[in-house]
Amino acid sequence: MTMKACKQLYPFLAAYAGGELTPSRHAQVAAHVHGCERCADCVSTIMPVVQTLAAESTLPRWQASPAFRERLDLAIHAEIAQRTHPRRLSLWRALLARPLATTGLAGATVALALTLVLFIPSRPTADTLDDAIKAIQRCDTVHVTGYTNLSGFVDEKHRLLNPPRVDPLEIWWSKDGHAWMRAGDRVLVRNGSQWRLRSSFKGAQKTPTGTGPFAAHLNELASPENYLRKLRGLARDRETRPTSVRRGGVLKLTIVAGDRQEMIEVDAHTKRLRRAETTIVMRDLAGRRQLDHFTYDQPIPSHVLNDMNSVLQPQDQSIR
Amino acid sequence: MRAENPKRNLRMVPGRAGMPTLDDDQCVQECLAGNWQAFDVLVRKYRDRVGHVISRLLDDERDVEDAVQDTFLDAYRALLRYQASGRFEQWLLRLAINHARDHRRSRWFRRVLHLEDLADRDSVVDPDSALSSRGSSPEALARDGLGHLRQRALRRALSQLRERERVALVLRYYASYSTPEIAAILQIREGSVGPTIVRACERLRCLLNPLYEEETK
Repeated sequence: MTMKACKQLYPFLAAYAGGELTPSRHAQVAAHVHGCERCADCVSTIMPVVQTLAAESTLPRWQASPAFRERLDLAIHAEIAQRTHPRRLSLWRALLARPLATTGLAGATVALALTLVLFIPSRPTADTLDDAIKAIQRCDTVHVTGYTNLSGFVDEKHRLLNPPRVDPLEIWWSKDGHAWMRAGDRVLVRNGSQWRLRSSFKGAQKTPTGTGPFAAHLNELASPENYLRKLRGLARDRETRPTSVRRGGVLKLTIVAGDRQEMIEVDAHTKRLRRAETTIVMRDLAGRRQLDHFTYDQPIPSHVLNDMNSVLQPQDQSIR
Repeated sequence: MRAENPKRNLRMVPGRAGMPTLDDDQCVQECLAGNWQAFDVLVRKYRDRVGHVISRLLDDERDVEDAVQDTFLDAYRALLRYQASGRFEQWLLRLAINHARDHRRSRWFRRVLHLEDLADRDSVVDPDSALSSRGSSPEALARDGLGHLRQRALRRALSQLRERERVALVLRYYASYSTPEIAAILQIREGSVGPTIVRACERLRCLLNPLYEEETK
């Protein structure tokens, strides 16, 4: 057998092993394989793989769930609506077009800031979810002490708009301009000038890829070492209040710093980070505030754990 | 202005309201003429097919749904760039494969774990450890279910192949596309499809060797 024949028939070996060739081509390849040790080896090597793959092809095909179908329809309709609606004048352009209104708005903002500085004595603390929600409704900044079910906060409705097809709708903005809309359990994330529908807040974490502080914060979450480095930095801040609760072999640690709260759970036996939540204060269009949370789970390297213990909880050596 | 009344188009019900049966290129022409109901026809026609291919390229069901959605949104935005050639499906799958690749590349994103996943995290069997550890006894294999383990090991091995090889295998064996169709989707010569698949099978055999050895014991 010549190398030329090998080269010509090599592309057909997988189909030959799977019995997918036409009879004439099958006979041609079979004749070659019987006389060519190299190609026979190749066929015997790939035969089990081809059989495995062929068996896989009989598995049930993927089908869109009813919920996803609805979500996909909604996303496409939102995209169509965005394309077909005339673009609205942006707030800044509108203000620049009206110098008098801009001056008045700036004055009102300064007056409001002075009022807040002079008449709000201190940030309230909330020990229960109800207290925290009440504090949010008063537009205050909240320090949540201890572990609280933070996911309860995101169900609070603060601002309802009435765009077509999505009602009611909340729009939230982060401090550096990232934004998402929330309607029921659906979340639309703004990516540049585009809004995209996501099934959960997971999508909200994916969107910021820039270099703003919010994106930087989310990128920090990608690495447990970076995350814990940040925790250590927070622990050195005099405003932070690290607490720990040992219950059932789980170390819970909560740190509150400014508008951000970090909560982690470490399994004392496996030394794995069981859960971590970062809470940052989001601001809505009405200037109110809302807590949102991000979760991730990563194993913690032992040297990072040791480092963390030495900084945060020197007395709690048992998790090493 | 493509549509005078956008709200009218928000309720798109294909197959009803007198929507005639159109081929893909005619649907695209209808879309570009402002009849966005035609795009819904395309979505319903290819939604599951695109999802099936992406589901073999990505592990997480939620990633699959996100990628399917992004594919159709991108397709919608890029309709103007589509050149009518009777190959809309291949064009759409190329977008889908690109999105699946983007999802795979965003590694930090994959570290996000949902709260609901935490409950049954401990029960998950890691196919890598099951394959590499010599301690995986036949009893353990039987307990986990050999078919299930093989499926997971295969998925894991597929993820270690080169991008083109993985996609070629998925299109051939999971989605049953022909050689010309695969060549059109991957934008390669038809003559390159066969060698790509054979090489992918050889590489896959090396990766799956531990599994086959366990099965023959």
